[in-house]
Amino acid sequence: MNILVCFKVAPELDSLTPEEAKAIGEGCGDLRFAKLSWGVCDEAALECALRLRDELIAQKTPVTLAAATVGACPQRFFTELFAIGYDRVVQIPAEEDLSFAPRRIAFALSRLAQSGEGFDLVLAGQQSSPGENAQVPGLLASMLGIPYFGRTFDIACLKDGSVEVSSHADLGWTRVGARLPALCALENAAHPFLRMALLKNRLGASKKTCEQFEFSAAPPELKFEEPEVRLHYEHKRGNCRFLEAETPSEAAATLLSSIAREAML
Amino acid sequence: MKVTKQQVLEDLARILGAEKIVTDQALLAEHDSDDGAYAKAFGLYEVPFPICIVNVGSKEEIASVLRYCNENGVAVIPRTGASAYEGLLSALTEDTIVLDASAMNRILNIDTYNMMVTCECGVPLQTLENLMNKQGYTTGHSPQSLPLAQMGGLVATRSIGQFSTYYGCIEDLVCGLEAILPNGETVRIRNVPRRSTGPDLRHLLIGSEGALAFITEVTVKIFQYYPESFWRGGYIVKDMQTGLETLRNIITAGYRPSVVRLYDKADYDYNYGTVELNDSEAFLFFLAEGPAGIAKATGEAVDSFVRAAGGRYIGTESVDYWMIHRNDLCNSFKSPELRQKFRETHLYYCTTEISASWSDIAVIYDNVIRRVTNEVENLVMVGGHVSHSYQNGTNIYFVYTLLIPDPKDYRAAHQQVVDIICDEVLDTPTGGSAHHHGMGKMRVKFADREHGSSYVLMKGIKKMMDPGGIMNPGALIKQ
Repeated sequence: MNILVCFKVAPELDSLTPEEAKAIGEGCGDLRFAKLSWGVCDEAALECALRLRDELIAQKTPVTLAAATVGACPQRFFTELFAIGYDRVVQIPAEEDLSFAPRRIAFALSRLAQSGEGFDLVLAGQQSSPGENAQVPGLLASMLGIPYFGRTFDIACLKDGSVEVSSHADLGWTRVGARLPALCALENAAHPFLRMALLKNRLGASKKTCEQFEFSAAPPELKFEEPEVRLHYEHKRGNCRFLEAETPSEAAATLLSSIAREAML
Repeated sequence: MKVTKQQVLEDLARILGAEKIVTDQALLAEHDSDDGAYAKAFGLYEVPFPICIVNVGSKEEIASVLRYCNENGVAVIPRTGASAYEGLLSALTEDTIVLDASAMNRILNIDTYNMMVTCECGVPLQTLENLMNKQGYTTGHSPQSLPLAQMGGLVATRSIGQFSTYYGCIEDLVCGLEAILPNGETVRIRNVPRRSTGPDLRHLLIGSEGALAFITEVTVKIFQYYPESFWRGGYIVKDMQTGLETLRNIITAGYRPSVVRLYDKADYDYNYGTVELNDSEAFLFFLAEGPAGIAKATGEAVDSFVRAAGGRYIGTESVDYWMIHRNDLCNSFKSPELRQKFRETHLYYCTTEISASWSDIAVIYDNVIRRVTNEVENLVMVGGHVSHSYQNGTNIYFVYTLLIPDPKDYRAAHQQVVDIICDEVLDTPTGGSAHHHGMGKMRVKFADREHGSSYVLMKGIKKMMDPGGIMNPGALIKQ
């Protein structure tokens, strides 16, 4: 089984003080010198893949693990991935900051996922940017044309080569069997922390370099098919008034008499 | 112990009132605070629970309890902020009580003319510092335990602050203090600017680790505070050796920046990671303060020294980030999140700080990194940083992370690294095996090598001040 994990390295928002978080929320903070870490949900996706590998090895199923990121990422994160057992680590270069360009990120990842032998299972964090947009996994699944399981918290390998996906739902959780290929986006996962490599493994991996995956095509333009669909919103004017009253019961009486007067009119 | 545990509980309740005696098992389990936090996360409590925690609110109550314990052979662990490390607060036997004076939290006198403030032992340092800042002063003392630490404990553990190169360590800040001996007798060392009247008795209590007396009151210096004139700068240097040499040149030339820190890549990546370093590079940063002219002159001199050593200036933002987040770890010690992370990852992060002369420190650094890397099987990370520098040497704060699959192995795994570090340090002529955490109960096994022929004095002092051996057994003197 070939597993691809899409990850991103991002400022560790948990470590911000309330004042810093407020400034970031208001668009005037500076995250350039914040501590970098795995995207919170991406960290769970990376760990999930390692646990799946352990399961598959126990089942004597061949497995390869690849991890990919779009844009800048410090070398130490690549070294760590090799050291904890990833077979391939891929960086897709980006000349500009793509933090708020989910379609372009998804497109780049889709080109990678479709290259070579392809992948049976694609994992990603549900979201990793402060904007909480959670768009990349869904867009990526759509571009790859494979089933998408959002808000996944655990995945188990079944002996028939399919997987069992457990996901959060509004009123609890669901568990469904899924044939591969498929894409799962992890959130509030059962194993939220990524293991760390032993130093000897990290030293052994220090000479390994990540692959650079480059492609020339730009993401396709979004085109609307004819007839063009336009959204229409019918605006109904509301009738708002302020009730002047000392107590709630006095306000209720005022409102009642007002409604009765309007009804009589 | 001459009485039963039940008798101890009844007697203490009679002396102080039952409401002052805590026997809640959950609180007894956490009597030594963050020590053993890794094992505790797995429900493993390795050290004996004390009989009780006794909450005292006055010197008279401390004296009464100590007198009772001394007469009946009950061991006493003094405690205030409970931020100790190295097993300092851990009970060695069940025949122990914890004497907690965190309720003694009155600031007794602020004397801005003579630049001194007098506090009860339970005054939180953060409270005092905030109060002083509002009045335009600072204590100049800012250890990483600032969010937790209280004045008595800071003195008892011979604490140091992150701005020590300018303001000094706790021993430079303490003017005088008061303590109660195990027999209930109160001793006061008066607040004199300097005296020539024999050995300085303050030093019998500063760093006494609760093993000689209970410190009840402390008078410390305060300083004019000039936050508006802070100078700061961050640099990348070729390697730790270059960084150490540069620090030596700055300090021995007579400059005193308040913060002087040098990180190797492993340590910096693990704890901050806001500056990208190549494998052998080190991150060096400074803060200079004081009156504007002094801060500016210090900053300019520091800058020229580092640039002359090939250092690359990278601005001030990473220093600002450190200033804001320097105590984050302390706030996480008791958090449920940290314990959940222990259970999930089985990773244990720990530190051991040592000191040595300028000529020995680089040798110690290299040898420790090499030996820990080669000898510790489940090592995830080892690195170190310099955080306090002196005319004749500096410190290294070794940091390491261990993978500990079975929590029962945690103490032995931790001790193995401590032993390697202390062994390397004590093999050098000028190495000190504990820079500012105290020896606690983890490093006291090295006390005889640490003190050499003067260890006899330490044993004599213990015998003289605590003849019954009730005060924090296992600290200062090997059992």
